[in-house]
Amino acid sequence: MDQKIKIAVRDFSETPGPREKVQGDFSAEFFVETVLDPEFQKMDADVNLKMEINLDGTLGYGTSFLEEVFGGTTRNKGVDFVRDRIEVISEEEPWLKDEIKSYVDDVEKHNKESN
Amino acid sequence: MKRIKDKEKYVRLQIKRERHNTKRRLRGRRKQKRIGRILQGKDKRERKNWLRMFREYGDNRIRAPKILSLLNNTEDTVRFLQRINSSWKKRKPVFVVLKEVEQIDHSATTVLLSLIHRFQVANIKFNGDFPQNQEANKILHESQFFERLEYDHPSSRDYTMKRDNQIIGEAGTQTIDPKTALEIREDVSQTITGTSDYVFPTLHPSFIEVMQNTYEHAGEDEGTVHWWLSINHDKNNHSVTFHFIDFGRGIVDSVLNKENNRITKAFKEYAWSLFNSNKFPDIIIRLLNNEHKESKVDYYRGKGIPSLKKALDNNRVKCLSIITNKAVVNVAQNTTSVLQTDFTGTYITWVLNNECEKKIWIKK
Repeated sequence: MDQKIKIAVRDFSETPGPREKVQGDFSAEFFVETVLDPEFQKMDADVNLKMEINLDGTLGYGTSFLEEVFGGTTRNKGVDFVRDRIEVISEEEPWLKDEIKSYVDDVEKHNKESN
Repeated sequence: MKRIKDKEKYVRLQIKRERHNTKRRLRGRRKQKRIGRILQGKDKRERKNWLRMFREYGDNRIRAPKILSLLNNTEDTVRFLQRINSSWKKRKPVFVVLKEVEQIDHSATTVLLSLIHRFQVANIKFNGDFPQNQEANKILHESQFFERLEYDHPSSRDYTMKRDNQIIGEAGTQTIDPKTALEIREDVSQTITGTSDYVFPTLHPSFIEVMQNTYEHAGEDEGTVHWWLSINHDKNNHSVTFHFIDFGRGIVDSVLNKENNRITKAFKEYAWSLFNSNKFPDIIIRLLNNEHKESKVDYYRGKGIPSLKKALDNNRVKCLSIITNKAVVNVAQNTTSVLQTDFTGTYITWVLNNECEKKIWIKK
């Protein structure tokens, strides 16, 4: 069975902030650097390792936070990495899953147009 | 040999000086007459006060419209604001005449508070008088407008103003302080639902979106423009209204500038003529509907403003309105209008009430 790294954004902050560190506290950039990147390294070393990101329990998300986390990861690690190895849990705000999907799709579309 | 004072050059200079002095004398006499007329019928104390104000603020007394509201009397209020802003640009002290104001709402008090902050940060004198209308006077007093006037030197560019544990003014350049966001959640839940157990999923994200919009687009450089947020709790109707304002370049101007940067100079003129002020509301609607495309490099940005419209469509906020540059867009009622006066800045208001989607808040 595939192993899963479980991450709850609430453990990082109840009030996820803007996109970049300079724009305010608990930014997506800071989240990726401090929480996701170390786990991505583990995932790079073990191809069977997957990640589950739980979005529940926070005050809500700005579009830029989610875009930077999921769109940014798609830009850095590739569309397949995000689609196949990252699972999003959002029971409180189910529409966030669709939003995240659209960010990943946007990157894919952009990559196709660029090539 | 001619004497110096008979020389033609000297005579010309004398005539010029005399003309200048006469003009100055007449100007002074006119000013004295004007002051005399104003002071006529006033008692000694009133005369003294008026003259003190005149010495401090000169002629720069800006009269507020009778209905001071960005939502109900947009044109006159924007004109009033632009006169104040123009004084700020010239670094001229301002005295705001509010005594004739009959109606004032929280959109106006937010704007007045943000203006005081703007003047105080720039170290320019800003003062005003009281509305004679009791209701208007009460609203202005509750906004802490007068306390703020006496607060001469803000120790910091960013600060929070509170009354009865309610945020009535928060200024900053970055996005909202997480601690403040958590406090607001509790207060908002209390006002709307009667308990502090709920969280409105759009509450915090909407702050992030509007503040980030100011951070990224309002100034020439990022993070240079101040925003101001005011939250009005209506305990009788169980609703909370948010007023957000910045005095940046405005959304329309920012969009047009961006478009112009990417195109040649010849096309720039074409773009400006194409997007004349009648089409300003269309630009906002295009943005809200996510039909405005960012540059190919920043294709993933620009999702903040559309998310506000999405929140409105999905019943997560109510009464969303935007006033920026010459565009007035009441997104909730789907109406638009064009202003005669350019409002340099962005004003966004929205409401949360019991009809909006909410979830139970589980404390950490």
